[in-house]
Amino acid sequence: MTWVHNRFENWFRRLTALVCRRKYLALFLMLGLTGVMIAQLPKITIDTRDEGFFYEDDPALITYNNFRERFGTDDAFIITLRPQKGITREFLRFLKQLHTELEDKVPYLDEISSLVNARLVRAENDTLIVEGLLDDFPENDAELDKLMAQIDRFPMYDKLLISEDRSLVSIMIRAKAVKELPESELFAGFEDNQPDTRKDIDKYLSNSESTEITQAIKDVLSRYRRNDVEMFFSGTPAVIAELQASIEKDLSTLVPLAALIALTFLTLLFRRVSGVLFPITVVLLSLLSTLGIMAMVGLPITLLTQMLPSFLVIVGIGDSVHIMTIFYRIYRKTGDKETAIIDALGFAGLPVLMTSLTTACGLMSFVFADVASVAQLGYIAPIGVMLALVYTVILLPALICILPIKQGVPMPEHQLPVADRIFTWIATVTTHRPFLVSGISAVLVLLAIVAALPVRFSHNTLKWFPESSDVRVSTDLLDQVNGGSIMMEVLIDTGHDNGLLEPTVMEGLSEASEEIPRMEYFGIKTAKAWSLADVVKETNRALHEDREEAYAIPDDRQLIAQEIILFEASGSNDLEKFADMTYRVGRLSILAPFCDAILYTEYNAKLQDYLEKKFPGAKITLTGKIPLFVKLIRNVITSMAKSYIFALVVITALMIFMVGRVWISLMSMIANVVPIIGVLGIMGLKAIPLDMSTMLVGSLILGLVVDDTIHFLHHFRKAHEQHPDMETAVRMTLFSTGRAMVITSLVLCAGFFTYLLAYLESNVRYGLLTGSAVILALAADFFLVPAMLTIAYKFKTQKGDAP
Amino acid sequence: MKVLGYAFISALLVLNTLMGAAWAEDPEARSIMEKVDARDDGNRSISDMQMVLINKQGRKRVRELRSYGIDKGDDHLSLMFFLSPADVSDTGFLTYDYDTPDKEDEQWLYLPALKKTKRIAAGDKSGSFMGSDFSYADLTSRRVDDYKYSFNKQQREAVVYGKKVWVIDAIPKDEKIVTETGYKRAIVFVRQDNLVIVRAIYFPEDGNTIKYYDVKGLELIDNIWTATEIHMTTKKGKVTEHKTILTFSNVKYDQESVNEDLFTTRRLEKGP
Repeated sequence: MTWVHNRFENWFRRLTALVCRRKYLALFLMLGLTGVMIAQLPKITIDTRDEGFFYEDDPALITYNNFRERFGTDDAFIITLRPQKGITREFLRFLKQLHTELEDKVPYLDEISSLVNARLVRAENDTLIVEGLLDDFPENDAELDKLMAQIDRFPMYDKLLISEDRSLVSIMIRAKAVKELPESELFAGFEDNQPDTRKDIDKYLSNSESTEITQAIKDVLSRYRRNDVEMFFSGTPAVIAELQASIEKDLSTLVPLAALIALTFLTLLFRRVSGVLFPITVVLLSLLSTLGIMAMVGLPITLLTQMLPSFLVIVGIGDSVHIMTIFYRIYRKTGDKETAIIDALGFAGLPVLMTSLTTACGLMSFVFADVASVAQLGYIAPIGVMLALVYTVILLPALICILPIKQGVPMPEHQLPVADRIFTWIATVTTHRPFLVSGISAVLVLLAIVAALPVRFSHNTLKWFPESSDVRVSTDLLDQVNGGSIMMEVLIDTGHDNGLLEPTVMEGLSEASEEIPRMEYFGIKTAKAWSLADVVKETNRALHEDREEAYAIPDDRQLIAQEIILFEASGSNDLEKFADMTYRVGRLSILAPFCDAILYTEYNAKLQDYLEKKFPGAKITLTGKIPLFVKLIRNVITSMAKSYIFALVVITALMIFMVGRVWISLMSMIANVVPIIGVLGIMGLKAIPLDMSTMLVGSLILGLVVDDTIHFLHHFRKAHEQHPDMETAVRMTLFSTGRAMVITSLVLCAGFFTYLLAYLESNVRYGLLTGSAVILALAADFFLVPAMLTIAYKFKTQKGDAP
Repeated sequence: MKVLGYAFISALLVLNTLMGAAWAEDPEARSIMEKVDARDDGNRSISDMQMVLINKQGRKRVRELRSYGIDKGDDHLSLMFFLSPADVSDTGFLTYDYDTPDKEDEQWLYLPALKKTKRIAAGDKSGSFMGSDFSYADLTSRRVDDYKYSFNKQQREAVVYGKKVWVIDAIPKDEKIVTETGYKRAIVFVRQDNLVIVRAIYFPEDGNTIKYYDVKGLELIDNIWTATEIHMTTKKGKVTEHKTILTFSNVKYDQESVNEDLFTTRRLEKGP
């Protein structure tokens, strides 16, 4: 393989020489390219919707979208009020004013529901009245008592608009993305069958619309704040908006922090302006170009791609550090910038290329993910890494050649700094006691595996937020008091028109509404369930002089059909929420607690089973956010498997190419898998689950940690050619590349550990794990790799083979 | 029968121009609408009506009704019986539509399965009629003085199904009319030859949808221009949410059998 390495070395030398000859052209081209990309940046968007995790053809998403097409959105912004003095007339007046103001001020409003307009179906003598609960505002305490008694008669309100203990009152706001039609296009609306060519992302609320609505609601709430009424704000769209705000917050702190860390290390390492300015320029410009490409192709910033900017800053610095270290060493001796950079790139070009490729491959493994937003990262992140390489290889030499750089003083050769003494010790220990070192490593790996055993898959968006975040506090409150805050939807397809009007089916719906909240499986107990049966029961009761015993399903199909006509005649549009046009498909809505979707995997199976027995012959479909999350977990599992296998295979192949020896490469990959096992052990100890934020850590880390191994093995190959003695070879390797490995690892580590300051818990976990992995990887490269090399070479020598 | 083609809407649109200019009425447009209001739309009518409700997925619900109508001074009485589907056959619906704003309209529904008539508190007219895209406001007479009229700024005239029409904006004069009818604005297309509203665009108060009223069939029956097929489509943006098609057949006016005695709860309970 030496001839391959030599060819690459020569190629890098020729390329750098060309750049030096045409330095101004190179500078102009790179700045021009950057300019074009930066111009795209205003187009960049953020997408924190749950649907963003799915491909458009995912069956679970299609089912969910079909449900939304038919019945409207199940997402609601929920404003929960806790009046200190309970439900008084004054509070109801306040509620009415708040309800009205929200109705006026919230954009994209589809529906707002609260006790103010809660449906009241009652009889007054011979008249059926369908009205809003507060249409007749209680003027005195007696009327208030009557109103509360009315509320008691309508189970529909419980846990949705008012808690069972009457301590909480909620306002639910549903919104829909409706693009206003310009006046010029109005008249075209008479044309029939205009096809709906909108993408799904345009049909439903986008991130910016959720954010706009959230802000409008918060503005109204801020004007209504008072000491005697606590206010809480939750609901899936509110979570989406909060997630976006959190991502923006973290980006605005973590990216500058990453840049600051890079800046600090460069200053400490090189102690000169060029040593700081050039790498930072290269990295920042490549980052901006990457973001520009994202904007250009319409890739949004998501929970996953938000990691990209800090990652690219930290990782991109490493390339420059390796090259600049060698450049300065040669320049200090020779005083010739051009020759120095040509030699530096000649020597370090191939390892820098290989480290970029392995990092890119680790990231590219995400392309095969079944989670759409992970796949997006798989496309853009490798581009970012390779762009950083391109900028390093072209812009860096151009800057060096154009701008003045002080030569500096060569370091005295006879001194043995502290670092070298440590490296000497490491070389001695690992080459003289290779089995001990390997044995200790094996024991540690075993312990890590044991610690990793409790690690589980998970998906719980709320847990990404800090415990004190508003949306988490609000959702926890609703779960605690009402028993639920998120919807699960069941579609019951009877198979024929008017199938829902059959008394047995309607009775089945009524029974299901009572039985489902009593079911408890795997720690999940839902709060309530409701359907068309509730409307029929309310109407039937009103038809029978409001007698409680008439709150039941009639056993006459014709009466059920006529009661529905009666309800329609009242002018209420509520029926379209419960059944399709032909009364073939009915909807059963379930209010459920917001907990880990992994728990729902089994619960949903039980629920499906129960419903299939309750409605024999009907097609039962579970949809809504909860089944979507359950599917997401399955997608996470398969994505992880595909990603890890791809990363392992490709990176191993690259290592073999780089190192030139198959079994040394395979052996070094064992050392590189060790940090991943170590990270899994940390996850087990800290109860960190495998979810969207942590699932990718393995592939990401693999791509990063092999970088140091590549540098080590590249330098070791040369050192061993000159010094066949293992101890000397390892020592010389560490002398030549050890510092750079430590520096780059420290930069990576520090960069990732800045995520510990993040607002989102998911980012904190990501930072902890990747930072820890880097430390473990460095330790593995310094101890385990030399030990295993010693054993390998000893074994080969004993066999009589040339190592 | 109060022809459904004579559905004119009132809506109040606060027309905020950049200069905040107030919306002004055009006397010529008003004069046209007064003539539309005064047009003879027939009395003592009997007709068969088919109502087809179509959702976004193209699924249909079909109902057949027999309808009777009579003018009583400025008020209008109507009686409908469901003929199909079988589950609701013989269900009757009686309406007293009072012209004066102070008097609330009255409605009764007869349920044959219970052999009971129930009065329905109608409330405002913005609610949907029998789950269709038509609201009660669409089906009852509108007071011409409740609105301000002007010619549409985009098109003063147009051609609809080969006939010239005026295009007139109708804006409710006050918020009460908006709340009562559920509409904040309408654009009506009035045929110049026979003063029939053949098309209209309605703007519901919530601002999320737009409704398109389209008379696809218009015939001269007993010298009365009668809409025989009307489509009402509810759209969000460009996309159809759902649609209702009303088809009228066997329309007859001035029927001896249609008198005020027909429009009673007693008669309602007897069926068609």
